Amino acid sequence: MRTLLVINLLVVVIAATAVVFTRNTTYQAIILSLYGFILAALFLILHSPDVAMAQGVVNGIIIPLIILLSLAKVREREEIK
Amino acid sequence: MSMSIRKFIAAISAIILGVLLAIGMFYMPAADDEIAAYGLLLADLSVDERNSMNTVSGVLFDLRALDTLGELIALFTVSAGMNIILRKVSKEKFRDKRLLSRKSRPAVKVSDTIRSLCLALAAPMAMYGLYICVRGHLTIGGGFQGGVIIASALILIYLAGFFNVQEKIAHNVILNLTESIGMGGVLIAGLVGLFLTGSLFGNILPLGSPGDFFSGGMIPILSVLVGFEAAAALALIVSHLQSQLLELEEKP
Repeated sequence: MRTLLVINLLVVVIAATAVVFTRNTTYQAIILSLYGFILAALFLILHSPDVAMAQGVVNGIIIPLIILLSLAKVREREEIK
Repeated sequence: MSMSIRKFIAAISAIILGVLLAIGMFYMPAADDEIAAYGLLLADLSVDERNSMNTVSGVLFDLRALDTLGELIALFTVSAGMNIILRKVSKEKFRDKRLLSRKSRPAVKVSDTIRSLCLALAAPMAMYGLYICVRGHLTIGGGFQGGVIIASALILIYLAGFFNVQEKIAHNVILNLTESIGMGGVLIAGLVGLFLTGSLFGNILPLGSPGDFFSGGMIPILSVLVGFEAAAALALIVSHLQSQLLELEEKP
């Protein structure tokens, strides 16, 4: 269990750094979704499946969708101008 | 404020935060340390006194139901705020529905794989969310988790490229009604507990035996109501953003 925890913590650090250093906002939203699922796996390893469930759905699906919808609206306004 | 001052302030706060984090980490108990007294007490309380096998649900919907009420009010306020901020203003007009897929905004091609996967998974996912909601007091899960899973099942229909179907299944009126039922039901349950037992969210129903489906008194009922509220609030937030993108455009 301990090895799994250490591996997952390392992957979380790598994914979080990837989210910060991605410059294209569209790709950033998708990597954020991946990061949410990795974080959910970490919560599962730490014996909190309830939190993992909410984390996986909210950070993995809903927040990236909200970001992508807002981006599409902003891009559309820029195209008009 | 110039850039150098900003960087200076950011550096100072980063250093302070780092030092505080290091001090906090130093005094933190190890992850596999013995279980704290509070955890043991909660596990005893929620199983022995409330007959809820899931301690998390026992805390969320009975022992600390007041905190859950605060969370629900926050969700309710967010969705109401989105409704006010993202309404149709006088500068905007509704898009011509016939032009929607042709000239002004060509519809994005969704690949067959994504479409069939999303459509095949939508109904099982909604059922799974309902299952998580209803069995919150027995196994892992609970109202909020089940609610967000139901909301994401709706989003799957949108991702498959069927915005009109999603709108038909979960029209804003239906979502508003569901949200009101969830929020009002939780408030009424709390007030009934207050009048009958003297404490807000007091448990008034028979507790049953632990592990049975009908056990835990108010816990499963509150769990389902919270599921309604969470699902409807998240679906409303997403649907306001979608209608901004797909239904409204600025007047030329």
